[in-house]
Amino acid sequence: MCQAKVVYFFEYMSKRNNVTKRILALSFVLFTVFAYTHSFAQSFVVKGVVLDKSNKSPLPSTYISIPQAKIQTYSNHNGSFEFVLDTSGNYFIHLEHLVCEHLDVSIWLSKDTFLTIYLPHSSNVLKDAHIHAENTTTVQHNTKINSAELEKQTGKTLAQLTENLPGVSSLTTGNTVFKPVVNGLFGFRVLLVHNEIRQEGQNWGQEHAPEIDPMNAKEIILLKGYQSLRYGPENIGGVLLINGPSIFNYRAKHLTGSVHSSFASNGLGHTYAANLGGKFGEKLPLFWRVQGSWKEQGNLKTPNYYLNNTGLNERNWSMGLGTMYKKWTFDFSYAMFQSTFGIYSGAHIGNLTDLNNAINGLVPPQDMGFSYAINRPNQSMLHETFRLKTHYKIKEHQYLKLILARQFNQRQEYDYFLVSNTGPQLDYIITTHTADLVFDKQIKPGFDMQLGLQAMQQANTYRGRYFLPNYSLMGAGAFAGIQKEVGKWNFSGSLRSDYRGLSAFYNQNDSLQNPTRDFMNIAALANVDYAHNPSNKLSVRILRTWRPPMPNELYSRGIHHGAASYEEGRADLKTEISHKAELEWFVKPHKNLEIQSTVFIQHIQDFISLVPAAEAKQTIRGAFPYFYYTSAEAVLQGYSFHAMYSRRNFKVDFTGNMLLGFDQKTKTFLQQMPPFRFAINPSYTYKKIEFKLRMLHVLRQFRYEPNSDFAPPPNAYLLFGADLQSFTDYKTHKFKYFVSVDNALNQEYKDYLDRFRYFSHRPGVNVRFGLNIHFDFGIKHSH
Amino acid sequence: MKKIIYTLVFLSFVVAGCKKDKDKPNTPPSDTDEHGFITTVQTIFKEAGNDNDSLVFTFSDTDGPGGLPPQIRDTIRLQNNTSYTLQIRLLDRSNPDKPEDLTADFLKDAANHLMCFYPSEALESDLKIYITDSDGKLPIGLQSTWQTGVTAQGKVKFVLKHQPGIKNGNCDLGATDVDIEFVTEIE
Repeated sequence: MCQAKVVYFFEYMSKRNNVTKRILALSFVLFTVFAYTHSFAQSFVVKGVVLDKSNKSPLPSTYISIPQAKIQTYSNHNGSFEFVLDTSGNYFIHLEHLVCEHLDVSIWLSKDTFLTIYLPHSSNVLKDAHIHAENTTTVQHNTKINSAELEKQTGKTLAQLTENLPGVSSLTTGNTVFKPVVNGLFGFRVLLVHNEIRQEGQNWGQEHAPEIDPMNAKEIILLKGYQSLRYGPENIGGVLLINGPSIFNYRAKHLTGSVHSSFASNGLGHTYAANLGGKFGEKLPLFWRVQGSWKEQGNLKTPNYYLNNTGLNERNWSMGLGTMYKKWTFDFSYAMFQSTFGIYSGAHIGNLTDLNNAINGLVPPQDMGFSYAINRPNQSMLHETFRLKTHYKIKEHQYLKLILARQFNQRQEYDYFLVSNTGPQLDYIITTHTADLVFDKQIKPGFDMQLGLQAMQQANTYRGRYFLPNYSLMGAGAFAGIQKEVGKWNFSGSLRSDYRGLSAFYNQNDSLQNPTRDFMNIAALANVDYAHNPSNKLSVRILRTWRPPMPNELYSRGIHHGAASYEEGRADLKTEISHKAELEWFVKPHKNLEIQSTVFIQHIQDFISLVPAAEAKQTIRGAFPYFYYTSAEAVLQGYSFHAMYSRRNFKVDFTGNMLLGFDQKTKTFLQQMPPFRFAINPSYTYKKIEFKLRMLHVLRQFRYEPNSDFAPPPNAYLLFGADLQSFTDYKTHKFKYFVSVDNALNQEYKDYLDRFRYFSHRPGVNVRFGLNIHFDFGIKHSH
Repeated sequence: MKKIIYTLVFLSFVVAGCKKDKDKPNTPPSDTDEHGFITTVQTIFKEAGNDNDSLVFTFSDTDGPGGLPPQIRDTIRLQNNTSYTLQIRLLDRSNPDKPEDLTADFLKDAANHLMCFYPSEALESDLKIYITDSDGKLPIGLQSTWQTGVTAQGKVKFVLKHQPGIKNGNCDLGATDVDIEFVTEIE
């Protein structure tokens, strides 16, 4: 077990005087703030460094927290860290490192202090590799939801979890399907990276949720730095990293794992998950992990009626094996995701007449009470991921990583309209092979470089009704990124070049058509950070990204169910090219107040969108609204902020997201842009109990074109919720429990980003409660 | 080192040995391979008391929604002051080599289906339509009696609704399986 030893702490006061003088010389204003803070409040600065005990080199990415003071930070690339404390006392400092986990130091802190913490960083050089691997995900600029946050929301979908990130919302289809929306963009424009590989499913459908088990996620990160180009050029909206736990965290002679369960009153949902892992042997160690989860939910209820056929059943499992040998590590994993869910039957309409009947309220909501049964229409999904990751340490600060993966995805859609009950109406299989080769090098401390090569091959086939063609997609890309720290400045940039070759196959009047398209383009990012002082930091970022038009946009043809529309692709669509400029400002005007603001403007050339045609499409089933793909010239502008005020046990979070989307070509507002949303969450901590109130205010989307949609956007709404959570430690085990209420006032409301808002309301009050147990058993073994 | 190589070889077998790519993108399904969808509505009129002679009028869109416009859109021509029985057949003719009659399947699920008729204003006073079949509780609409008046011209809309568990005789409910108009002339 790892042990920390605080070797030496000396008074930092003399050093601080020098610092003060320099600051005085630089800025009088700053000095007064500094002096004010110092003289009137009894706060003090604790700085320190985490070093490897064996070779005295700095240990970056060490998680440092003081729960009683609500402090959470990471050591930087020099291993150093700093935080501010308000009151003197005996503090328990918790240090977490990939290699040396769960490390607690007790210390009396009363004044400015410098701590040098030596971690017995076990002699095995291999472990160094893992720290480095972890380092790539703790780059600055990223906003992140950690495992503690995720656990409070056990039972929610992946996209609902991402909603806690600034600028992220979710698009829903009938309360069962959620898709993340990053700064107003979703689908192909948001890269979902699951354990370092790009998630490849049937991403084209708005009602197609990502096939990732949220119970297997340790953290969710909105990646913004120079490494955001590493995974592909298509991150026009953003990159979301969904990371599971590292297999190399497990310790020998320990059986570590957790059990999670949660229940929800609305829909009588219940979720269970468990994972278990350990390590065998020392010389050629074998790390192992198994995990599984099951979720079931019945018909959801709005304040006044049940939503018929909104049940869900999800079954997932995964396993991992890892080993280390000299400078090598190998990590193999397999994951299976299976889900079946109903589509609200009141929304599965036949044609334009049915749609109008539904919208005009001629059809009452189909309330058939509560049931777990999943009837037609429904969808079922299967996603399998195999991954083999090899990490090789070339020499000190130089690493090579190879990730090979195969993803198999099947999606079956069962329609409402059916004579005989055989088979799905739409059945897609998409198989993707990817290879990623990454080279990391630290040229000097504070000067990093990363190079990467990527190859991808994808085959998509369908059975049943034609909507999308069969296609094969080949991809290749090269990436180079660099980051350099110069004093208060940090410069970083990356460049990538990609090729995509698309070959589609479909029959038209029984003759084979084989259109092909080739795309090649460049993506680039430049970023400058300036940290005037720890309380005032500024970042400017310029980003160019692109994506090729996808087969559904080029060649789709048919009725899109649930959308009640006839959709048609346009084979001549061009590459979508985005240029984005972003400014981030972090400021701490007062010791109790922090404000983080982000403002961006984005121009997307040949922005592919689905627009209605003047005439309807006549079919034997009546008239359908006719939509076709076309290119627009999109301009997006957004502002998001997060302010946090904390004082003693009391804390208030205030977040706001504002976004405007405009098509320059037709001078119209873009559709499906998230309306302005604001959230205020005050919380109070008493000993081990945290109580939190949640208030969410979503305004009406008034920026829309009156005749572009079946119904005007719904009204603004204000929702209240509350969380109560606590924990108990028992020996080496931890019990965490929570009770939460969503939509506490049971309000009837509709959301603009709900594709079924024409037909149904959102769910009413929901009380959730859950228990998460983390256990760690030592295994005695006989000598 | 050997162990590592063995492990790698083993794992590569695991990766390669899982679900084989059955999918060959270069052989897409035939575009006339759809199954179980109504492409054709056939109306068979018989004069009351005369079972031998029948009048057949058809609406057919064999390539499904979109693509080509409906190939056959017959005009219903009926004699004035006559009583007819109408029997409707629902067909899938998307594959010319394998036409399917879906009528029997619909009748099996009759409790969840309803066919309604909407004569246009010009025909309202001269055409009376009475549904004669029943699922035991409520009408189905695949069999009906048409009573013509004096000479008139207009349209009749045929709407077939799928109403699983919600059928109550109201044609506004549910999802539409068929929604077509026949030009109708009473001679």
